[in-house]
Amino acid sequence: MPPQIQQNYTQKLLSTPERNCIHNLFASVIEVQDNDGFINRQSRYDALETFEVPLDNAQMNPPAQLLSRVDIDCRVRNYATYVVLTKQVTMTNQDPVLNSAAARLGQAYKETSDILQRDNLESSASIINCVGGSNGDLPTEMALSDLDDIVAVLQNNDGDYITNMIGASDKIGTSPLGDAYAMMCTSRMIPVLNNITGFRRKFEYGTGAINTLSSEWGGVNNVRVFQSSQGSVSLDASLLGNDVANCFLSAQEGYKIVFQAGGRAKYIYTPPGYMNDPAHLRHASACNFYQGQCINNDLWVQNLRSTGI
Amino acid sequence: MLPFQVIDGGSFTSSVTAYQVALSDRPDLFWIRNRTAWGDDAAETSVESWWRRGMAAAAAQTTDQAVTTGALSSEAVTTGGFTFIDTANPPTFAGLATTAITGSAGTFVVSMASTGSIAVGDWVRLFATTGELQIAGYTFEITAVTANVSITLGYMASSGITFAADATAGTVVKYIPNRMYPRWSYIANITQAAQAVVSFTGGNDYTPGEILSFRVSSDFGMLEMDKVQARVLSVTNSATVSSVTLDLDSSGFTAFAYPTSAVAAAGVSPAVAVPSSSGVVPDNGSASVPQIPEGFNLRDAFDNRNRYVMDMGSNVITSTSAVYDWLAIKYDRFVAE
Repeated sequence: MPPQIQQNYTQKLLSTPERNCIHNLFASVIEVQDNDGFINRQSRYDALETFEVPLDNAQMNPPAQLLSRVDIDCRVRNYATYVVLTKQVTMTNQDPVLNSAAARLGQAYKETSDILQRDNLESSASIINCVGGSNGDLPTEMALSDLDDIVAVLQNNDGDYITNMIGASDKIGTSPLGDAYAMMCTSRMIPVLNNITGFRRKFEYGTGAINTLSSEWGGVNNVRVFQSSQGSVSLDASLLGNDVANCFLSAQEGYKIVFQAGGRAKYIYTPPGYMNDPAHLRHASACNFYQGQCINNDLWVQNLRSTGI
Repeated sequence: MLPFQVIDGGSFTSSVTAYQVALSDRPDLFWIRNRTAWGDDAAETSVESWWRRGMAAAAAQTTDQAVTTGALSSEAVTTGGFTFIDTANPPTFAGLATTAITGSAGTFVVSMASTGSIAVGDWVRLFATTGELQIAGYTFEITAVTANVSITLGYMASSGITFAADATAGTVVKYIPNRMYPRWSYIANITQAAQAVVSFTGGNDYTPGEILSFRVSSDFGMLEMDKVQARVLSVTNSATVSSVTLDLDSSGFTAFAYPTSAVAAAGVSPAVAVPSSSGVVPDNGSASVPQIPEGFNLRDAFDNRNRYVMDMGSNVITSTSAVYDWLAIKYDRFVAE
């Protein structure tokens, strides 16, 4: 008799943990043409003053107003990574290793792109401390009043909502949700969110959870919340030394991501025989992309800081 | 084989007993040698030093050189050695206790029995202070260190702000800021002047012509500055002063003042400056005349300036005027048996 068969291999691969990529969801997208420099400039004309006082009987021309413009400059940078596989590995393994390498490179790209945007928001968004909670820290844990206050700030800054109202329905346990700004935060905020008065999980939306992303956790009044394990946290940053969650709220066109036309994310395969490989022993999978990111309007992106995480 | 095992190398002339070099990637082995002292028959501590991946922060293995004979001897240090820093994912540091922060005198000297690895130019965060809750959670750049006695928050001190009472306890934690550029900054003070001067708690990123936007709540007095956008006319980033002069007349504004410690504890948002946009670069010393020919500021472009850095401390850079050679190596294959 032959020996017992000791091992078999199931072709279906196990899942690799993938983080929610939430920070580019609400960014306006700009593409820079090639051969046109590496700093993207967009401009905004400041609003003119309103003129409520009528002309008098002399009908003299009033003084002219000054039309002014500001520019937002954003530098695009290049990023790359790769893996090297021996031909031995790809020839002898039962699962398609190169396919997995490509998938993991794709994941690394998306998560890197998201982290770049997160770090940009963390470094340049205005900060407001939550003060409506009761944990005695500063900032406190997030409360309904903090979210209402930040909505008031964004409305007072004339920021447009990101999403339209979700209407009511006759399904039991659902409620409407107003026009909403988007909030991007760490998954560590989930217990705090669930504890906010009136916070609705997304299954309580009037539409149920239809047409929502898996990263969306819920909403309240005029805020919809998206969470990720790579959301922004500042360590030891509170008055008492607790970790602080940086929860970014954005109105439309609050911030942007800039791509280079010829530098969109690419998967690059190099077969054996290249890269000083005369014996054709190894091949490589690579990822390369160009990206810039910045705030478009500092009044339309706010960092609402919360403890309790 | 891939042709990049030695990923970086070079030399530098030391001027202080610490140095940083930028690297293109994470090394597995880092090596330096004091070229000036090597074989000169003079005693030299750490004439050669190296670091390998997995070593604790600030550790190093070194070789000392004996006088006359030039005999080499081995040594291991746990402080003042090498620390590899990825500024996008920096290492963290343990908190250190403080017993006093002299805010009432406006000198902002932080008394500490242990100053740890804090050096001039490092950033620290204060928290859990007893008193001076106005700045609990704030970040500061260090301008002076007396080892195991005190550190000085010199940028805060030079702003001219004072508090009613000192802090009598608290925790100081060193941290390495991310280098997304430009960054928002805590405001230390704002003057009432024809050209307002805004001081910060550490070195600032701003450049002439840049437009800054301000968040100043009524808790800080100068509410007129809240949400105001103003052009930077000039920038000061000296050893103890970090400030910008603005194309903004604040002479009629309410005076800027920090809230009391009790008010801060009840809940306030800090006064900050945030980068807003880019404007016309002003002529040197003039508020209204643009640079000739007219120049647009490109230095304020939002950018990712993160990088890999090898920080070398005083136990491996022991000479202040020597030429050091260095190498950073990444293994293509590493076998630990």
